Amino acid sequence: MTRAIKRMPVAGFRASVALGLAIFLVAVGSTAGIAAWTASASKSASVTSARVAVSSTGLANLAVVYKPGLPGPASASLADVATVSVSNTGTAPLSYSLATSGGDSAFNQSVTLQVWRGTGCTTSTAVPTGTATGTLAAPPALPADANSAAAGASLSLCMRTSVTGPVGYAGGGQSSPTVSVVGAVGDNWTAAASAAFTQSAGFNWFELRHKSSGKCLDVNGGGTPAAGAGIIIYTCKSPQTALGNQSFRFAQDANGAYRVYPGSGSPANTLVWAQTGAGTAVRLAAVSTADAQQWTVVAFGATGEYRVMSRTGSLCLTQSSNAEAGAVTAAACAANSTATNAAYLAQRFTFTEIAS
Amino acid sequence: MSRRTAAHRAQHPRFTLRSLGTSAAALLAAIVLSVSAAGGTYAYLSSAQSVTLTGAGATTATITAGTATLTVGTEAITLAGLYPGETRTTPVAVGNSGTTALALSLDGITGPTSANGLTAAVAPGSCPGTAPGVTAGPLGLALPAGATGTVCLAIGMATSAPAAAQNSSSTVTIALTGTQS
Repeated sequence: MTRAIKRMPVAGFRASVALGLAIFLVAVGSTAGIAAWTASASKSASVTSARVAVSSTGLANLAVVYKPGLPGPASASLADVATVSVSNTGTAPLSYSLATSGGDSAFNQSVTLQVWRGTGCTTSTAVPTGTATGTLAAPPALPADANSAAAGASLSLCMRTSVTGPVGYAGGGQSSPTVSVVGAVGDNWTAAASAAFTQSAGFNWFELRHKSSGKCLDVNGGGTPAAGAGIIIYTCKSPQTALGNQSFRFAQDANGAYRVYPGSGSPANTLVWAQTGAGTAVRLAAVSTADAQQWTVVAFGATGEYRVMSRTGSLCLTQSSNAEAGAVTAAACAANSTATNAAYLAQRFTFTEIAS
Repeated sequence: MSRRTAAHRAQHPRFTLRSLGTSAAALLAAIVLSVSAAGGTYAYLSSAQSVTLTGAGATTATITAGTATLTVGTEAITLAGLYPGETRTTPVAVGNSGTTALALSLDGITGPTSANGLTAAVAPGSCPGTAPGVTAGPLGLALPAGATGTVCLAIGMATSAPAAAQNSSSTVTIALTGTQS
């Protein structure tokens, strides 16, 4: 059987092609292109940044010479207090901290530093409870009421440095550190107010005046002393100087007694008073651990009068003749009895500290 | 005419006037459809053109297109003494004085650099902004025609600002765009 195939008319075919094209064009051309209105505007702000600056006064007042003192004749001076004013002179608020640099590291580590907020500070001002403690090598954190300041604000601090004696007292050492109050905001903005000062461990130098004669203890011969030089009484020099031959310092031993060093040209002399028994002259000898070189200072007589006793027994520094250049001896200590007793008069001395 | 010739004509008919007319009509219809369906191209012109109609009942008509105009407040913004870690905010008035609603976006901010340590962002609404500030992009703020609004400009200084950024002056500029919505 043969199937008849019916052909589409040519005209109809062409119309179909045209219609398909039309649909294609419609499909392609009907994609919407949308253009919306826009409007623009801008706004500017002028910005000026702050600056940081700090000033301070009073830091340099931490300069001090620590002195061990001598119970009775002179008080110890093992602390110093300065009132320090810190001002934020910039235009940004700042957080404060302390920093130190320079100086002798060992000395710096031996000096305690405490800081609190206060005014009119003195060495007798009580340190507030809870005050942080640092050293000149590692300063403490500032207290919460003093560790920040608004722009333009000022605050007053009490700064106290101290050493302990006699163990921590090196004697003769010194340091010149720089202490800074550092103000900071952000990671990189800092300003500091700094001051350098010198602290040293000094000595109390004394003139010892013989009460009976009014003359002064003196290293016989003056100049650079030598072992064996006698201690005599001699007309007092005026003014006295710390390193003169009528100047003496008392260095405390761990047992509480003192060795007595003459000034005599150097604070580092290694000769000390030594006695060799009752009735013998007191002379200079090379320092040693001998008890015969150790003395104590004891109040004796009127207020402000003392006698110097040997640690080894009942021997006292004595000068009975009152003669110029008369030798000073170690003799039995007199009773603290009457003002007319010769022995009593011969063993009394007054101590006057010599400026150094 | 031979049978061979007739058969040849049947396989290759000649174009007739009728068939051409049919094709032309289809093509015309396609074009009309294309044009009419291809709507959606909108062009808004802000210019005006008068059109005069002549003849009986002649008159003159003016056709005015809408406008899109974005304004910002004219008040000066001055921030003095900015320091690391600090951020300050200030409101900026914006207005749509055109005739079509606008959606605001922030094109960008100029001025902050690593050298001056400044930072800046813009948030919609009064300060403090109710939304996190952006440094570019849509602000989520639509202004109807004739309406005003506020955006919050926040300018800060990074804690890492260099020391050299102290005591210096900078200008921070925000560029806003309103898009017909």
